[in-house]
Amino acid sequence: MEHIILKIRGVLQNDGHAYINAFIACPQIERIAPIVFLVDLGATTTTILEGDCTRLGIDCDSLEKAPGETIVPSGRIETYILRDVTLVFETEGELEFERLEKVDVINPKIDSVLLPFSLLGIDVISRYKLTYSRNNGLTLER
Amino acid sequence: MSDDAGSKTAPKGLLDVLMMLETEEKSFTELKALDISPNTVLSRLREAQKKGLVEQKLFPVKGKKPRIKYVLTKQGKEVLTMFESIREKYVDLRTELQSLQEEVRKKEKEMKYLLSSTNVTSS
Repeated sequence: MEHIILKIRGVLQNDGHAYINAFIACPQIERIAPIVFLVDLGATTTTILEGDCTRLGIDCDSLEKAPGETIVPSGRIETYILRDVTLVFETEGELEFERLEKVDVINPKIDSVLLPFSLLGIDVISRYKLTYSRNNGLTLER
Repeated sequence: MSDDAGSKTAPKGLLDVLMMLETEEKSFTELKALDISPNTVLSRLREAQKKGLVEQKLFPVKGKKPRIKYVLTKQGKEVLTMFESIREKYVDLRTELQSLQEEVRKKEKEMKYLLSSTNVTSS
């Protein structure tokens, strides 16, 4: 039987940050939507940041609140839980999906900085072998 | 190069296998009609089974041994619908993705500028 490699290629920016493109679907989002993830080895859980929360029309009031508070460099924030999320990645010539029981969502506030990306956490990254090279960029492979 | 590396190929065919099972259950022999190698069909079936998208069921055949057929699970149907939806709207989704990537690049530049100006101010 052939051993099939799934290879997801990331985009490496000049400053070294790596991003991965995906499509996201879940019952709370009305459509399949594109999303850009910053690969964040420091994030335990994949997290939808304020900008994407607004863009995707996620209503945090309808979500369950995550227990406790999340500590980030700027202080403590309240996070919410989005369940039954599917992320679809483009591999070489194929679509690959990851089902996630939950992802965290940060509720946008009036003074929120709306970044155009979210965070791909260890919950997804650990399912792959991650290769990071200044020359060849970032790949998630299995 | 090791044998293992030699046998590795780029993935293909999962969607084809799922689509083939969309309307009715199929045996492995029937699935081999796909325009991909039997080895790839088998790999994709195993992978789909592992992910809970496809299951094997025994179908009785009169006077013969029951036949093993592959059936799409509820989860498999959901994933297939989603993949098809992405394929249908692919051009629009890619356009939206590209504008997002552009925004990310802009934001990176802004943040780099802010950080460098902070460094100049503090030094």
